[in-house]
Amino acid sequence: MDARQLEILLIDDEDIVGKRLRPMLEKAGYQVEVFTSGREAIERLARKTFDIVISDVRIDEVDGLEVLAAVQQHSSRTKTIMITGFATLELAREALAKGAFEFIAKPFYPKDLKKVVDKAAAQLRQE
Amino acid sequence: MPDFLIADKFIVIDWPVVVQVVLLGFIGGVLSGFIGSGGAFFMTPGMMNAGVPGSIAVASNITHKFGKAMIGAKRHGEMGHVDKRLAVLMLITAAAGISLAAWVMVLMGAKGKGGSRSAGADLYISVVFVVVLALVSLSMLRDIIRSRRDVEAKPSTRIVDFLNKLRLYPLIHFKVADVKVSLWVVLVCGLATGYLAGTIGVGGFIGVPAMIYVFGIPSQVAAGTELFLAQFMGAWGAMNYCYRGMVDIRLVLLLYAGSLVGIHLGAYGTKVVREVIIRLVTSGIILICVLSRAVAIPVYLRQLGYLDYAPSLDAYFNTASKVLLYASGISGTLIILVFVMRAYFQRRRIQSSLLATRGG
Amino acid sequence: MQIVCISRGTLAGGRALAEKLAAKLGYDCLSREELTEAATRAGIPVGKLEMAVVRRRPLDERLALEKDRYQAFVTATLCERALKGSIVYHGRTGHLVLPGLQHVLRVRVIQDPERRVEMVMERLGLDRAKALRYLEQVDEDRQRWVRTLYGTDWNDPGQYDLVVNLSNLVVDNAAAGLVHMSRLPEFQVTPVVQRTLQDLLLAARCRLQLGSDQRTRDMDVRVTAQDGVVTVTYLPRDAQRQELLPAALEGVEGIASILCTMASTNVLWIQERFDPANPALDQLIDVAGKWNAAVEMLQLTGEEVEPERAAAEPSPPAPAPAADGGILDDAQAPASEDENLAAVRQRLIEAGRAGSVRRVPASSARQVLNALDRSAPYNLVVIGEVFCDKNHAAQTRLTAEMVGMLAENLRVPVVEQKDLKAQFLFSPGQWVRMLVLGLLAATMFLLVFTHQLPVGEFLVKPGTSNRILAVLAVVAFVPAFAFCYGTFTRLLLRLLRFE
Repeated sequence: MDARQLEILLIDDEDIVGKRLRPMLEKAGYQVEVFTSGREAIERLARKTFDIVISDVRIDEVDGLEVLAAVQQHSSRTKTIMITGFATLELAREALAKGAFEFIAKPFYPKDLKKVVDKAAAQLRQE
Repeated sequence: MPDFLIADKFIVIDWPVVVQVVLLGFIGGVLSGFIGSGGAFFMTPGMMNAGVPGSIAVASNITHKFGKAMIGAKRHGEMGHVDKRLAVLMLITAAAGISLAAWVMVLMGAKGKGGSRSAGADLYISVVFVVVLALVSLSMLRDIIRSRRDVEAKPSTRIVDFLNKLRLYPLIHFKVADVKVSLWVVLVCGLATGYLAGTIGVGGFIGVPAMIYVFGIPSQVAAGTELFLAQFMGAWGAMNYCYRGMVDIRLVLLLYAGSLVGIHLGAYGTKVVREVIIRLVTSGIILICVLSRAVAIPVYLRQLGYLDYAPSLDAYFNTASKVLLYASGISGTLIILVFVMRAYFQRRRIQSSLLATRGG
Repeated sequence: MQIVCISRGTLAGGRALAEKLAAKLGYDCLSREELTEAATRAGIPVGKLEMAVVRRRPLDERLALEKDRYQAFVTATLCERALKGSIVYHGRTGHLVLPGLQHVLRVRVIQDPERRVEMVMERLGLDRAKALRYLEQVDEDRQRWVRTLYGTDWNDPGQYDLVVNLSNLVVDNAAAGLVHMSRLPEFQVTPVVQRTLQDLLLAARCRLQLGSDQRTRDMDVRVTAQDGVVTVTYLPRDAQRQELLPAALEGVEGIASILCTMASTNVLWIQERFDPANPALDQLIDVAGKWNAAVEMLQLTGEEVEPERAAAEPSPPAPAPAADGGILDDAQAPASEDENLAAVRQRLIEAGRAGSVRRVPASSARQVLNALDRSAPYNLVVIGEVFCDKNHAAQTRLTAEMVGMLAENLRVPVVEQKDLKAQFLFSPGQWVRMLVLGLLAATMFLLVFTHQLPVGEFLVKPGTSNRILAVLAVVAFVPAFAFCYGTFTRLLLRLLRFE
């Protein structure tokens, strides 16, 4: 893959998450779209293929696992990173079993997320 | 002290040597009691600086370690910190590793082109020593610096995670340590541990971190299992070297004279000093040791004819090496002893206190 | 007031059983999910702990503190709820979160493996291979979780009163069976149990308070409570900050008094009767002084509830030490025993060695073991006078059995009180041992150095048989010397109190 900008879809129902993560990811050279609604995000995913999807698990009526399923349906090469403040080992194992790239428990540092995103990006470029 | 030489290997032991070796033993003991493993990283080069040929220093060290590990392993075993299954598996490969090390050592010693009796082996030991321990201490320092900045301070688990994902079958479940590790990984680590133990006498320095970082087992079990392993590895190494006539029993006894006192003081120190300081002191000491050995490398290179400079400069290199080594060991030991003594005297003053009593 | 704890595994029907049982009994039902969610909202990063287990990494210092906070939160919540009314709790480790409570009905639910796979495939929409792997990993993670948090084996059936296998049993009928079981006298609440609950609650609240107070949140402390007396044990490195502890606990209700003890190590002292005149007390203070340890006292009070009696009137409460919290009104302690215990404790306080005091209604080694907090770091367990009502031979045998059992399960040295002196203090026998071994070591040392030439020649003499001989000699000689000299130095340093 060439060195084009990778596109990230970020979904979290809390505004603050997008506000804090978007500048960090953009600075790192990614193109970022932020959604606070799972439904809207899934609609967007149906129309456009993203390289990386970062999704909270608990969003609104649509949860992160549904987002994950939608991503898998549209594009198998998209890497999905799940983040949640209510991580349990069962949930983590479920998400990973369903094809999530990584599972991160909140609270985390933006740089921790960046590391994971970079790892996903590196894999994408290798493929 | 009688004045004699045997087979061009066993040095004359006079009073300065006695004092140096006992002191080395003591410092090594304090450090190994404090750090939990090693001590040899200081004693091996220290003895080489005192004029003991490298191979004799290593051989005597490993023999010394073997007796010490036996006592330590017995204690850890009683506390349930020994995973025998893991130990046995690593042991098999570690034995191979040690034999390999001893064989390479003889090979290297034979290569010495005139000049010195053992410059080839010395150079080889020094290079391995510098490379391996520099890596160990730098990664330790990095961990500490990270833990300063970062709340997420812990042994990096990247390797554990990676291997967990790979799942190289057959996986073996180690009950005491409570981990599942691939047989192959265990065998590779065992080989590496044995080889390094045989070469520079610091298997524990590799074995313990390997178990913590690669297998992901608790540090206490790692230390206990390492000691259990070390007694057999030490025995095997001692037998190998002894068969080749490299063990100087006098040096072993002198080392014990210092180390068995020091080790108790060092172990006492770990109870009263903060974790961060323990690691900081440890990595600092190792790093200076590495520098000290690195400074001595030109001498061996010259003796082997790879490097050309006035032989008179050797003395400077040797002195620098010696100064650095002693600086690291002595300052480290002093720091530890200061902590130990402070805690020792403070202990009497501590009173628990009935603080607040509210009526009912 | 009754507590039923159901330990369940993935999709095994444990949740359904718990809910059914709660409905039948008319109890509140509380799930682990609700509890962890509440803990997370209270600012405890439970998810981080969970992920540490998933990632197979040991807890670092900070996470270990969070673990303590989480456990305190769980204990506090369960105790609070249980003090208000009866509850059914279901989760991974319900049976472990209230150690020392005998009346909790602890149930483990298991399910046919094939059925579990099917349920995972159905609910998570995974194919068979993935479902199998999911189950394998989750089971592994849970075992690790239990080991990390509670230091025990999840699958040990000895931790449960009952294991319910749902392979063959309909949930409804299983619940009906449990209803009957829960009516048994063994699982009824007595005033003693109630006080234990209050103490657990108080200790947990204090731990939470210390964990959320900025000044003390990074201190590694252990909190216990007995009849309103709160004992906070901290590490030597926090010695300078210990005055912050009572200040941080200012707002917690129900504290009669606070006792702060420093300990890098803990000694557990188990017996039925504590007597300040017993010479063992001095020895123990001596040992604790050398190790900088706090002595925790565990008094066995014999069988608490006899099944027949429990169904009728509650039994009179067990004796309490001389503490004066308002919550102790119902404690009418027999004075003599009480005074002795209080006197022993006073001595320990004076020596700066007082840990907490606990009384547990136990009369067998198994019960003692169940009452202990397995994650507490004991370095030595001393067993004093136990089984006093038995004849001498039986007492000796039972005590020895208890020593063996505790040693095996706790993995720390366990000694009988009478052996304390011999093992951990300097007895005349040890003087002799030290001197003899010292002399032996000195002799070996001198022999080698006065015969350097022959020794050296022996070590390098060529010829296979000579080589083997040299090897054997070294391999035998070196450990012998290390043992003699090592024991000598250890005893010497022990004499100098470096231990």
